Amino acid sequence: MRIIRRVGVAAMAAMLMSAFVTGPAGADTPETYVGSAAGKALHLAVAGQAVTLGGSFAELDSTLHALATGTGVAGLPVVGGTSDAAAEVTGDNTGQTVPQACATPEAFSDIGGIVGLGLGCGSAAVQVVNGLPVAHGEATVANIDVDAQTILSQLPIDTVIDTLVDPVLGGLDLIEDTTGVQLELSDTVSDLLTALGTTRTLEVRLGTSTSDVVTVGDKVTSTGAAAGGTISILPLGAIGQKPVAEIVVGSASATAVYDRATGVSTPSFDPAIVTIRINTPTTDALGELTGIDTQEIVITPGDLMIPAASPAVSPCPEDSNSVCVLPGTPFETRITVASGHTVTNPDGTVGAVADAVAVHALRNIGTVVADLDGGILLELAHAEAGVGGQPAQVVQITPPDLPRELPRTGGLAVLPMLGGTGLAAAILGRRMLTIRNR
Amino acid sequence: MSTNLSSIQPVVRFLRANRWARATLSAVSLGLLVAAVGMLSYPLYTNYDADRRQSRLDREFASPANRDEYVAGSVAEGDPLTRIKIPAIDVDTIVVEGTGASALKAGAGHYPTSPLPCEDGNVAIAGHRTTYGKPFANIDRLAVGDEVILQTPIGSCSYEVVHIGPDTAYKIIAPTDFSVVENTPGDPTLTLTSCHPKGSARQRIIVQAKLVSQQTEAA
Repeated sequence: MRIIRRVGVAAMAAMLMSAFVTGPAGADTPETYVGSAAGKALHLAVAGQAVTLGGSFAELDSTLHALATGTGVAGLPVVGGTSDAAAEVTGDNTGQTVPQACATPEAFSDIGGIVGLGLGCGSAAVQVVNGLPVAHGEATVANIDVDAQTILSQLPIDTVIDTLVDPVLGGLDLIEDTTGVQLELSDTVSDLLTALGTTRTLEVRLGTSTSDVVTVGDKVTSTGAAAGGTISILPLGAIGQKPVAEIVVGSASATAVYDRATGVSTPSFDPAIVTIRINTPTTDALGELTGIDTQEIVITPGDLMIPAASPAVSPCPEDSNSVCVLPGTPFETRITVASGHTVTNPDGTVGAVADAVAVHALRNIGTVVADLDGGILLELAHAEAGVGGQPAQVVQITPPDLPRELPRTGGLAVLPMLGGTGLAAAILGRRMLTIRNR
Repeated sequence: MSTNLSSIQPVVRFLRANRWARATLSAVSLGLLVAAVGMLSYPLYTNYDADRRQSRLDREFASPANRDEYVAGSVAEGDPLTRIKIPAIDVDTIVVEGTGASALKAGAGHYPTSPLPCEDGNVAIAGHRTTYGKPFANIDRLAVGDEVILQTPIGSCSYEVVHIGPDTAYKIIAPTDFSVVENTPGDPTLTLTSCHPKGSARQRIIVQAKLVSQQTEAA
């Protein structure tokens, strides 16, 4: 047998190798949200000078910061203390409550005591409990009176009547020709003017304005609201001891809700339902006052209902949502009611606005009384709310590969068989070579 | 002989006629021989490798640094964790932490997700049966009541094999049956796993034992 060639190095079997791979860790984005609300009981402008009364504000955000304010009278000097309240906290399990603070504003003396304001109060409360912030602001103005007596008493009443009556009567003639309704209003106009010079022009009784932003569970809810009130135009003794016009305002609210789970924000508004009562005198053939005819107009958004035979009231030509009382006269008063709108911003934040009433009384009075140019603008029950945010974003970490079976602790049974087979084949091969050489 | 010669006569004639065929057959034969030697000696190599590792692990197991790691609960994969002794089948092996292929080259490894030796719950250890020192080669010969001792850097404890198979102290299960290594809070046990049958990874063989005594070194 031939000697087998010496092998230099024995071959080694390949070793099993495994690799363990972990998934990438991502950067998580924390949750963010913010909510704010504002309520404004009244905004009043007289002859171009303005104040805001009964304002409340609330705001909070995901940094656990909460702020609330309530201001009875802002921008006017007050007596008896302060009507401002402000509360603010930052951090979990914190809170602050500022009780109601009230004060009486001084008269709006710049225009000769036209405005008389009652007590104004504000309060505020904020807290953060278990990571859920809450903010509440509230303000109240008891009453507001607008009195043009000081100015008008300085004017010659006859001149005023001549200046005011002719246009009114001209308008009334047109109405008579058109409708056939006989109107005997000259005495009524005189009465109105007399009342204008002797009594209050505008009387307002207000409710409360509140601003709330509340975080409960998965919802952040912002609500601005202004409670109702009553506006009386020429409230006392104008016509048979009844006001010329009376506007009763319900409660207006604006709401915005943010869903922390889905990141969706939803706005809504609910303007107040407004009722306008117009009191017109009835007279006999001799022009003697026989009674008061009260016409009631209920106004809801987009639903303007005016009695057919109502020469003193008609939709304003420039705004279908407005009603004009005594149109075309220096006494013309425009009433805009029950309006609101929502807005969605590109970043997903939303807002809602609701206005109960905007009354622009004596809007043309400046044509005859320069000092009252601009008339009296009263905006009642304004509410705003807004929210926005983004849920937390957690990057899913790829889990490591888990073993699919219990650890392998046994060798491959085929190895010895392969080795034996290979050895046998090698021997056979050498055997055949040996036989060939014989 | 004559019968063999006649059956391979065509091949022999072909080899006589072609030099290149003879050279090729010679090379293939040599290659097969080398591969056969490798395959047959592989288990011997792994035993040699495991023996070297065990010598090193034995020294590390006795070191103060290993004790500190054990007390801190920070024993890394591949480092010595406990010594397992099974007198009935002559086992005395250092068990490392981890059951990956690299860690198990030491012979036996501790399932990282299972409790530490001698602690409450189901302590699980996997060991080779035919290679790398084959510490669990004869666990199928264990009987109920046989003692299994675990020694740690801070003490030792003793387990007794319990009956889990139909007629034996061992049980054959599928490789994907992880229930045997699930933790059992309030029930201190020891589970030993290995491959079955010998030389194959087709199934797994398990033996379980209950904690019967424990000794902790004084601080």
